[in-house]
Amino acid sequence: MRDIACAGYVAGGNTLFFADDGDGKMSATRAATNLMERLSFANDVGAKYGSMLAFPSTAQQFSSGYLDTVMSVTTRLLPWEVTSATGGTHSSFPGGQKVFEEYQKALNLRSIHFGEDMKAAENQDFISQGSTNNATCFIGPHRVYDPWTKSFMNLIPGQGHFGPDAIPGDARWRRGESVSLKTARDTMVPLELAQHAQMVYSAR
Amino acid sequence: MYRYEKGGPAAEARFEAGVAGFEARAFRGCGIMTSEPFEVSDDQDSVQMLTRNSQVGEFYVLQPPQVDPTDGDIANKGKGKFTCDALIYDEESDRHVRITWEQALKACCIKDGEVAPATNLSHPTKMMMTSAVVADQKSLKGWKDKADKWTAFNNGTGDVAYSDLDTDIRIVIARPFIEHLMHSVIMAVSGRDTGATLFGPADMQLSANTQVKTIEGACCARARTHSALHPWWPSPPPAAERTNRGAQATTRATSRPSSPSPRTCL
Repeated sequence: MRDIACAGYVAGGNTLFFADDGDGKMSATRAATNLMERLSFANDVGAKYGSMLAFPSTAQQFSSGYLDTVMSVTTRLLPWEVTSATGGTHSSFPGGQKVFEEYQKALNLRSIHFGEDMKAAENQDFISQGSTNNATCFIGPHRVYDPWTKSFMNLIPGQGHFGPDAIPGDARWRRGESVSLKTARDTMVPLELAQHAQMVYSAR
Repeated sequence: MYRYEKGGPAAEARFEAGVAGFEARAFRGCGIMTSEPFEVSDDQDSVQMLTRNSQVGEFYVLQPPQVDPTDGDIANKGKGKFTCDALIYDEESDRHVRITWEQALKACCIKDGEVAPATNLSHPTKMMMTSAVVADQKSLKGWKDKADKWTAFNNGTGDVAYSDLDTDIRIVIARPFIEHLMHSVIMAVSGRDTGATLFGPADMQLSANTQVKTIEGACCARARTHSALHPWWPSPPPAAERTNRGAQATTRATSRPSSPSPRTCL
């Protein structure tokens, strides 16, 4: 028994930073507060919450293999980090173990898993006492500048749960409408919108 | 009303119709039985036992342009605008949103009293390691100094030549709590696919053996067991049909209390 179809959107899929205080100013204190408010739905389920965190990294960390397609943002380690010869350091975290420790303190990342039903989580039970918060992030679909393409953009394909790309129209099937992914995209992103999506970096 | 004594002949038909419902293969070879939501009360959401909240996480990587968009001419700095940004899908507004380098850098919160600038990175860049200030070679302060220069470049206001910028700087944006209500299914075999054991004619014969003072019984039965729980398994072959014939049981029905063992009481 597994999750096989989206039945509704809850939260966490927008592009607001947790650190944002609403005026564009960013602080770790605000991020820690917003993060907890989001996970506990302190302002009711339908309120506007942040979704994103930002961390420093380097190309060297990506090429080293420690951080490539998956990372953990909380105190929970990835399976291969637990069994590593170094004794379980947070190597996948952007910046490495010491940077993780610093963000763990600043954002109180440890508290994300407080109150969870550990037994249910370990056994992958469908029903558990309370909710379980996610720790693992896979690389998601995003577009970056690329001088070699006609649109000057390049899609970095996602390797996570929602597939290689996410484009306007996807909200329909993700919120549980009885519509296929293809139909939702074709309806929302016909020629004009698809082209518009590609025009962001295009030469005028 | 599936019982014959209550429903009469129609009960049998209803029972068979119910079985047919379980054995139907209307959707991609599977029969579908839906579970209905359970209404708790007027002011509460109904409970659907096969629906739960589930979170997934994604991360995105912002990187500076790996090829000089200004063609080596600092006067062309306008061509560097937005080249460090990324487009990310926003599910709440169902559109792509541009995340700027400056926003992401601010959200890293690297400053005194928050994320300490003196913290060392596990993998500093090559250009960072050439810094004259040793303390900055691996630290977040050294990293942020390089990233700030990219902010100016990305805004089209920088005065630093592309060749003097550190192209190995990256910002990782994590979106760890993308939460949805998710439906689930329970897939199971049904009807005869769960297996059947068919019994044929059985015969039981009893006889008294006065010599050993026991009653012996001989049972002969025929049974066929058919199992199709995992018909797609390559081995062993699924035709688990076995025949049991001539099973015989000898039962010591009596024994004399004074006799220590019936075997010695010949």
